[in-house]
Amino acid sequence: MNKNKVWLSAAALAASTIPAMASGPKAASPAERPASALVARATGLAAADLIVGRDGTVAVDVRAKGTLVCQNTNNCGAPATNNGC
Amino acid sequence: MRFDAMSPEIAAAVTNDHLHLIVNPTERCNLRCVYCYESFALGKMPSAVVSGIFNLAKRRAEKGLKTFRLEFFGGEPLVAWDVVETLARGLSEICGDHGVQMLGGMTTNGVLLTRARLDRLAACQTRSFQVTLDGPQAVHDRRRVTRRDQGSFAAVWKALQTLKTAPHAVEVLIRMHFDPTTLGNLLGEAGFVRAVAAAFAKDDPRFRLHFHALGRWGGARDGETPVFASAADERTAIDALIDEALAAGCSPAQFDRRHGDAALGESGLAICYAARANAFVIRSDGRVAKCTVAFEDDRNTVGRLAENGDLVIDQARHLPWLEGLISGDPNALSCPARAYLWRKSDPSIKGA
Repeated sequence: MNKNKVWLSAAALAASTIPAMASGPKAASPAERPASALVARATGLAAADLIVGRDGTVAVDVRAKGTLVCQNTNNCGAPATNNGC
Repeated sequence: MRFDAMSPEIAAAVTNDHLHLIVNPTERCNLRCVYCYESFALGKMPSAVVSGIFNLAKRRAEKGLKTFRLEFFGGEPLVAWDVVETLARGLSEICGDHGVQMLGGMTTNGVLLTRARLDRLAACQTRSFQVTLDGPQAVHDRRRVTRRDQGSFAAVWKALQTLKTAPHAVEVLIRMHFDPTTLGNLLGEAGFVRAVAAAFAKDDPRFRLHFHALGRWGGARDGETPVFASAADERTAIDALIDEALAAGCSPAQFDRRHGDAALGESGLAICYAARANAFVIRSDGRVAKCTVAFEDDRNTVGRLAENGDLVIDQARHLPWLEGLISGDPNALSCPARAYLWRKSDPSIKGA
């Protein structure tokens, strides 16, 4: 799997579809928050939850979840960014 | 596998551009199929729930929703025709007023489908139908029986003919049930697959075929339902049925590629509606569920729809259904009920 393609897909997905919940002491920056959360979850780290609002919209809840950790193929463990490792 | 979770199918399952509601206008049914898992306990949807659906759809349409998929389920939805007509008309108006594409459909046994009702539904953007046949009349009439224990084959066949001859751009999925004891009735030159292909599907891409092995889905007579010994045996049978339909003149595009019960998407992931974050079942009493095969399991109730349109979701109950979106596990994506409720991985084992 092309890692860059994965990250781009995640970013595009987040930008077009899923808002993040706004608050959180250790939340990632708004630009990277949804993608990072989803990628972290996709890699097996329970860093965020998908939640559904009263209007049925889906959001990524990163409140109080702590720093998202990269778990790309080399499992570097660095804080996740949209650039990969 | 881990990164496959970011596929286009995953994006479609979480996007807020799309909303998918499976609506039970009633959970009563005019048939008593021998393998059915439903209890038929809930009657017609009250006006408060109908209003809740309208208000939810209106709110989302005003927020820029692009596509709205409405599927009538049940029970048999046509038993509550007045609710179906009200919802189809109202929702198509809401979508039309806001530039939302509505994709309406119905899973129906077909017995109560008339040309007049079809015309009405088609005018309200509801043109997709799933109708089930259990085999030739002798087989079907033993299994899909009315409440008075009479066969339903003739009425179902007539409904399919109504769909076939209607001028509307319908999409019809003929779901053909089979099991180890009836497979022989479907195969061969004189088999039922050829009869269905000749009558409906051959040279008509509006009609598609789905071959579905019977399972023990939780009904009272589960012990009497013949099932295949393994998923591999089931797959072999499905392949033979597809080959039969192809030989009868159907095209490959008239079949779904599937993993378990869910159709495969463009990048090879199959995601059941129950695993999607933007899909909900609205039961006739306003409860919100995820799966249409597990109404009796309390874990399937994830919230309720209020009359003002509020979708009140218990997030802790909802999240286990979405685990496939997170893990990318194809089993949890294609059938979260099997992974979460039944803790089984063999696609041939269904129900409790």
